[in-house]
Amino acid sequence: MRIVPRISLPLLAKELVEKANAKRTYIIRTLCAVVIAGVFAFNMLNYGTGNYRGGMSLWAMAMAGKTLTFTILSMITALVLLILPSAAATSITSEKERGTLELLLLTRLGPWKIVLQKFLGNVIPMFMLLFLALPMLAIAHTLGGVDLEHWNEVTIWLAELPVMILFAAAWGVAMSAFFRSGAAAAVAMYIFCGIAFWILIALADMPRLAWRGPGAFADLTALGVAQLLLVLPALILATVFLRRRHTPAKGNLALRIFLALDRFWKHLNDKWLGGMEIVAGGDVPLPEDDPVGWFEKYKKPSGSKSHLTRIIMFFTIPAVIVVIGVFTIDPYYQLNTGSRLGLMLLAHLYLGVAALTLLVKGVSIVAEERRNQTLDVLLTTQVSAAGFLAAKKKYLRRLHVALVMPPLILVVLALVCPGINVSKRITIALPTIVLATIHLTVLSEISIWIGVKARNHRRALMTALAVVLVWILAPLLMGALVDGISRNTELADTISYISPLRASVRMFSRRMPHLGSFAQIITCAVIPAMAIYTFCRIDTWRNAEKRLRQ
Amino acid sequence: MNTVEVDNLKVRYGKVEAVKGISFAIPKGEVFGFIGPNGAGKTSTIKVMATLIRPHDGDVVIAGKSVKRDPSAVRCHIGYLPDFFGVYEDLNVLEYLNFFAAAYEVPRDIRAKSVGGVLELTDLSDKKEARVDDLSRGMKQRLALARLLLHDPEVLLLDEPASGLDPRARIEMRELLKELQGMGKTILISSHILSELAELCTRIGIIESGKMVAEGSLKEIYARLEMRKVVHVQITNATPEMIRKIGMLRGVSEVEEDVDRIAVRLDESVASVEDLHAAIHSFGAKIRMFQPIAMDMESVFMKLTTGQVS
Ligand SMILES: Nc1ncnc2c1ncn2[C@@H]1O[C@H](COP(=O)(O)OP(=O)(O)OP(=O)(O)O)[C@@H](O)[C@H]1O
Ligand SMILES: [Mg+2]
Repeated sequence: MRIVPRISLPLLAKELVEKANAKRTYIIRTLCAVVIAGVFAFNMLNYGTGNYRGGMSLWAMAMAGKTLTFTILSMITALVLLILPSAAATSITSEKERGTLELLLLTRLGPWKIVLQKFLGNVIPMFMLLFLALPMLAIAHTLGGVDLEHWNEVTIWLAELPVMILFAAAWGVAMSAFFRSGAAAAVAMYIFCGIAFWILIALADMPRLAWRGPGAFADLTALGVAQLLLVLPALILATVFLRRRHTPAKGNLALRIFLALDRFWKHLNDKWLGGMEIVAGGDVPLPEDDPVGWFEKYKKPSGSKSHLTRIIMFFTIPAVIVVIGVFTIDPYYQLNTGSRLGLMLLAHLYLGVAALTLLVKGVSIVAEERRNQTLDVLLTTQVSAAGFLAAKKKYLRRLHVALVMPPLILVVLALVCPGINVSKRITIALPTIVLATIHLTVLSEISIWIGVKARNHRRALMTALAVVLVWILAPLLMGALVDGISRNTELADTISYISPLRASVRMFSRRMPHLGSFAQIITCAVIPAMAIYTFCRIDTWRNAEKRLRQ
Repeated sequence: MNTVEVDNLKVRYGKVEAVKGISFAIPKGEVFGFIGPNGAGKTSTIKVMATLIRPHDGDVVIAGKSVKRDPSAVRCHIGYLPDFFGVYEDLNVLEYLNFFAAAYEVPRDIRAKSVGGVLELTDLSDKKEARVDDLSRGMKQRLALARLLLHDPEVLLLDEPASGLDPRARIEMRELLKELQGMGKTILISSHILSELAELCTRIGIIESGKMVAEGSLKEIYARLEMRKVVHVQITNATPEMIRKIGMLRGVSEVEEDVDRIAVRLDESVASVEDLHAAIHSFGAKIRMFQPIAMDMESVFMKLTTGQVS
């Protein structure tokens, strides 16, 4: 007699098999190994040779062990944060997009079991990644590990990681149950994670601020507890969404939000601004000679001019109000370094949102038409594959312009504050402008290239995210490696500037860069970026016909 | 003069060879029925003709233009109806048709007229303002037909136009296609139901796992079918030995035993019905009934597509 009923989890099995078969899994594992090996070699070279000619000192070994431990931990954290939100957020939407969710709901699985299995399907591979890291941590330990003072920190970090995984997987699945398209769910999830992270950190910070107590790891514990408490509600929410919203609603959520915003804006406009005419509204004309462009412009919520204007308003107005408020309340405040940094931080946050949006939209250009099964018919008309892409790109560029407006306006605000010299102004403005124009253009082009090349939307999204991660991290690691091997700080610095992160962090540094180093930023950031851009553009163009027609 | 010529066409998806070298031709104004079971390679072949897949080998020539060398010229001459409709969020019928008129580069001054014309032809004039995604399956199918007539193509490539339609909509669709045939269009229709096409098609090609197993005018196929008879025979003193002997006769491909009779499959190009009668008689059989009938289309189709004939 069986006392414990056998639990069967068919969906989980399918999910795990699919994941194990995906190329991505192998790529990630290899990437992990390479990075670890690189850091390892770097540390050995750094502390084992060079300064310490008399062989490896005990101190050097201890340092190596510590660096390695923290590198491994931060890398795993970064990987989890990069992969998990989008993977979890697309787990149910991918079933919706393939039209298989209805079928699943018709089986005896039921929403609760589907949610649970999707949740486990995302949690288990991540836990496996954690287990993979344990041997690496063991190696770090043999190299001296960490001292007692840091040991607590490591333990808490190690404990926080699984909690973070549970939290992100649960909320990702909830997003996935709520949204209709994977792209929307992924973007919402990243934004949610960002906000949740800051709010939870702030909450967790309170006891420390109040008692000036034991510090860093206390707040990690609080954060962990908060996250753990939020796992079950997320799963329940996911079940509710799935039960209620499994039939696709008419018009998508983004459209409805925009329509609501639209009404709100119209109300404001009529009441407060006396009906200022921002964009001429009116009836939708029939398409004339650019059908794809017409569709983007009139039938997509993100396409029309009034909506683009609204994006700009939505992001900029709060910041402007705050700045004006500060000025009027305290004219002597004069936007000191702190508040200027705050503005710039906000600008870069906006840039991050812009980057994410452009990436998702760029990747989805073709996938969306494939999902709707509208591409084939279009390609038997006189619309060529290249023409199709060109029309889509045009509207992506408009979105790009709208999205970088708010951060650029913030930069201008930071610039107009009195009492700073010219070179400081350049320090503030230049990196943001370079990021907003050049890096984001290259990013759009890369996403389009990947979106056209990959057959599967989800895989395209993942690949694009991975490419961005490599773009950010690889130059930093390379730079560190060069520094370790050749001690050529100049060269190392030059290499690290290829990373957009470095360019953006540069302006927050205390050391005032001289104008010569700007030439360096421009050369290093711009030339490789342009090379990538040209490659993607030409390759997409040349192979458009072939790739769109399988 | 053939409007469509398919020459030793091969299609591959990675390692899978979906179409393994098929050839056929469609003369101008004919309706070609392209028949085969699921996965036979119909859609693959049609997609090559519609310039959506590049052939791995061989070529298709439509109105004198090769899909390999001059796909954009081919696109002027074809109208393609895929086996799905697609999702057009938030587009109404009029916008949908104008969208495609623009995509087909129909001259601006005759656009309104040609949209009106196809709406009239497909009987959708009073649905102009309806959302495309809200139309019924039958209406969607008619709208798709309207769409592919916008630029007045010579050749229509229709992939399972009748699938998912109720009997009434099927008949309407057939009437519509007859009308188009009357307008002189060359039409290719794929289906896995033979009887559905019999009334409409002038030529038929039967495809099975990427190969053409039978092709010709409807008459030729019928003539070949005429040759294949099923003879129902009632023998009062039948023995297993006797039935085994009948099965070994020349021209007999199979003997099926029913409760009170046997069904003998006979190829008349090898042995006549009279010969069969005489032979059975010579085995000492007492024949109570002897009834030759032509094999029906469905069972021929089943036979053809399981590789037992030809
Ligand atoms: N994109 C693809 N990738 C890989 N294999 C494919 C692809 N499309 C079709 N095939 C394979 O090619 C073969 C022929 O498929 P095709 O769709 O042409 O058949 P069909 O005759 O249209 O079938 P049906 O009646 O089901 O529509 C099948 O075995 C199918 O599995
Ligand atoms: Mg098919």
